[in-house]
Amino acid sequence: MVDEEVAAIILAIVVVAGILAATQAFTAGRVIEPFSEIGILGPNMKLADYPSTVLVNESFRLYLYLGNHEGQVMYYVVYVKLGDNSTFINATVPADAPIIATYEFIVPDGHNITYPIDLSINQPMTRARLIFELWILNEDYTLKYHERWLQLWLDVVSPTYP
Amino acid sequence: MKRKAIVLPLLVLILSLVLISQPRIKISAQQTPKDRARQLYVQLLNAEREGADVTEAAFKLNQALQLIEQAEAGIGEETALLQEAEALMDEVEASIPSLIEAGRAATQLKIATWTIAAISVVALSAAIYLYGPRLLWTLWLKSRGKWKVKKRG
Repeated sequence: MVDEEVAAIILAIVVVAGILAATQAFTAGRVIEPFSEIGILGPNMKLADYPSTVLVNESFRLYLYLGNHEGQVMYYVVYVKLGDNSTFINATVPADAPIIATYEFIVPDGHNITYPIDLSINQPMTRARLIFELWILNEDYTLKYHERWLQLWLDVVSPTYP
Repeated sequence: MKRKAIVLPLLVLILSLVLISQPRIKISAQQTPKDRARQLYVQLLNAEREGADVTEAAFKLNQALQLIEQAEAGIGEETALLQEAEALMDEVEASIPSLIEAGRAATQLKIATWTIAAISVVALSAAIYLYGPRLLWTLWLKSRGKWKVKKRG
């Protein structure tokens, strides 16, 4: 009687431990919630020192950060658009604004890249809105808005000459 | 009359073939380096789905893509940049079959490991159920084998 009880307990422990170990091993490396990251870093590769005022046609450097946690290799396209206060954008609707630059990257799963980008704006603007939209390439070679976007507010002023 | 009956369908057939083949020739001739990079990306995606580790190839393809972007933007010598990009893409393309093969082998190994692990758990459970108690009590007795029993009170 005692032997059977002990056997049952040991068996239960072994089975539970086996199932736990198997589940851990089976789910290891699997992406539960796939997502992508987009970030803009300042000229010193930090989340600081962003330009707030630039001259017309003056080139300024930023760093584009992309992270892939989608569970597969991704082809990203980043559109840099020039909008203003009235430009509408959200996670499902991309901005209807002129594109001033386009960048394309292939990022393996679980990796990220940081890439220097040099931008310039060719017209004076107050409260210019630099919008960074993340798009992805589908297998049928069409591009799809990936619901991620960022913005940087800038004043673009004309150079003054003495 | 008989000759016309043969020639006319033949002409229609030739014309159809020319019309069908024309767009293909056009696409092939118009394929840009970026189009090729995109095609290779899709191939890498499919290879990854077959279990291939495409990390290195993806980084190489990204390097090629950046060279193409630089060439398009006029940064550096266009021909040299595109040649370098093409060379990188050639390397990626050549590596895809071996990556798929390695991926398939890894998947098979994983399945085999899982099967062995599952069988081991079942076998171990059965062995413990059958021999565990005997082993436990044997050990229990061995550990207390030198104990002396005294009469108290």
